[in-house]
Amino acid sequence: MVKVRSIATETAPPEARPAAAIHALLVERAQAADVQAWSRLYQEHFDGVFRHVRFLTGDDDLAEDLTQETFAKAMTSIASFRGQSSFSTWLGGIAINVVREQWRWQRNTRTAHGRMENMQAVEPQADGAPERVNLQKTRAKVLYTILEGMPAGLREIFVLRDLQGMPAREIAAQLGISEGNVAVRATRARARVRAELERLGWLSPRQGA
Amino acid sequence: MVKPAAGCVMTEHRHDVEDDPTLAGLLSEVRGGVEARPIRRGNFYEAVLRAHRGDPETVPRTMVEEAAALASVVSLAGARGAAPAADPELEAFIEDVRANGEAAAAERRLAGIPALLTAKPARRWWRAIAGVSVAAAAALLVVLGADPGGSARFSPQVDGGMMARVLEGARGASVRARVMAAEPAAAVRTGPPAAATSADRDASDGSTGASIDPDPGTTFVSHETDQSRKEERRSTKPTRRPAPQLSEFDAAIDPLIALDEAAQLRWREGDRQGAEALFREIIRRDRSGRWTHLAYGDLFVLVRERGDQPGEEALWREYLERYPRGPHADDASAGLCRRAGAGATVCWLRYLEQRPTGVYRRQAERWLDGHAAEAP
Repeated sequence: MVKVRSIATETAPPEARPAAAIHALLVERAQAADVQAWSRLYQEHFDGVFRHVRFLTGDDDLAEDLTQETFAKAMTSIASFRGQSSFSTWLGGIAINVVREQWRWQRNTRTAHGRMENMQAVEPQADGAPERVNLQKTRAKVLYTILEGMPAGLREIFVLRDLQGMPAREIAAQLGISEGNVAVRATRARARVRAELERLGWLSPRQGA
Repeated sequence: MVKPAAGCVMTEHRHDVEDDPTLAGLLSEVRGGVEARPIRRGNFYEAVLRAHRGDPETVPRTMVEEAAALASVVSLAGARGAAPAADPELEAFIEDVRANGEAAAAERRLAGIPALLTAKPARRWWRAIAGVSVAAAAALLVVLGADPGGSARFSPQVDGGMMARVLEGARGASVRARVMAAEPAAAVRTGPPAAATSADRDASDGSTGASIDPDPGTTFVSHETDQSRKEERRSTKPTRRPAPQLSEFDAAIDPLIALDEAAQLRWREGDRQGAEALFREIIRRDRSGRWTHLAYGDLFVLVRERGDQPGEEALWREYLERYPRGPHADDASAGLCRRAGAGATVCWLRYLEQRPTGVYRRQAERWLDGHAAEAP
């Protein structure tokens, strides 16, 4: 536990030390089952985890539920936090695992293929269409439906990298893979998404491709 | 250009999606749509309850009880106004001062609820209550656990004083003991050890406490039992956390910091009325609103701890009148609905209307599902 504090204070820039030290102390207290420390960590990290999970799922209600599940899992596994990464990275990794479980469950209970068929019935509209908001919603729906049909390893990389805009370094830390692996998977994922969008008529084939 | 998500730091150039402008455009639109939706507020109590259900050994029942007793923790960062950066130099200076205040506030929030009673008497008191009425306490705890939304926790059928005592006892036996054990490191302190005492003198020299308006409609009712009073008298030397240290610099920059420290000290010393008066003074003086919500949070806990249901309701109403969209507004609205008795259906309907993404919307929906016939 002392290790957590020393990491935070040694690596943080001087001006950030008080906040980093306080945060490290909060984590220490959380590891000692201090509810007040947990409530503060919850308060500080809820928005970030919620945004993260919402990007991964595309669904606010589900994101809220899975964010709660993420914190519940964090509370029961805080002893395993060794301070090798930041607390938020560790929390982000838990969130991804929680989302993966959800994806597995969804795969077993629904058929992404069926939804893909429905998506083919949705006619792509021109950008100048009057119902801009509806168009935006439809595009989001199409994209998330395509993602549902993809393997989890590509799906999460695509969301984190291309949709959420997370740096490769952070993705690698959260997923426990190398940055090079992130880059390879991201290229594959992007190619797959593009191919599906082309097939459904939402994107034109790239010239020279 | 692919913009990063809020809260996400982009530290590297992106060449990948930029090479595909049509895909980038579509993703940008989807991202904008996702981010435009409001962020939901979390319910900490429900997260702890869920953790307890998943692993009751690591997250014991006492933690759930503690979570239920905690007032909302307010993010001062969220309360900050976004001032236009017309003068970058001045902004940088203000930001430094603000960061200093934030650090003090963070330290104060870290300290949590001051330790008033020793852990031992509270535990003995809890055991005494448990010994006399194990069944009643167990039933109460089952109610707590069985209702994640907490609809029964503060329902008129449950004696508020009893609940407050149960929670008080639970906290006394655990949180306080742990808070005392886990004393904040010297690294987070900002001043010499003697500063807290002088700050307390400054804040309690009579000029602050005397000018406090009493809480309108609040009746101070003691719900303490003879047993608990005896236990308190028996504790000859209360174990307390040493007073948080306060630098004169902090106090000079923001007298509210000194007031807050003084209020915490009074609370630790058992002078709850004095603490309340000082929290009221903070609310009266705070022009920025940064400390007000923290002070209200402490007032909610103080009023709840003394089992004063009418006082608590009056405080919720007062807060909602002043800050209908404040960080405690959701909790206050739901609290009033739980206590609304015959008017609960109308209250929950109004709650859903005013707070469609509120933390307690599921509780509201559950209530309305069960009382559909009463809807106007």
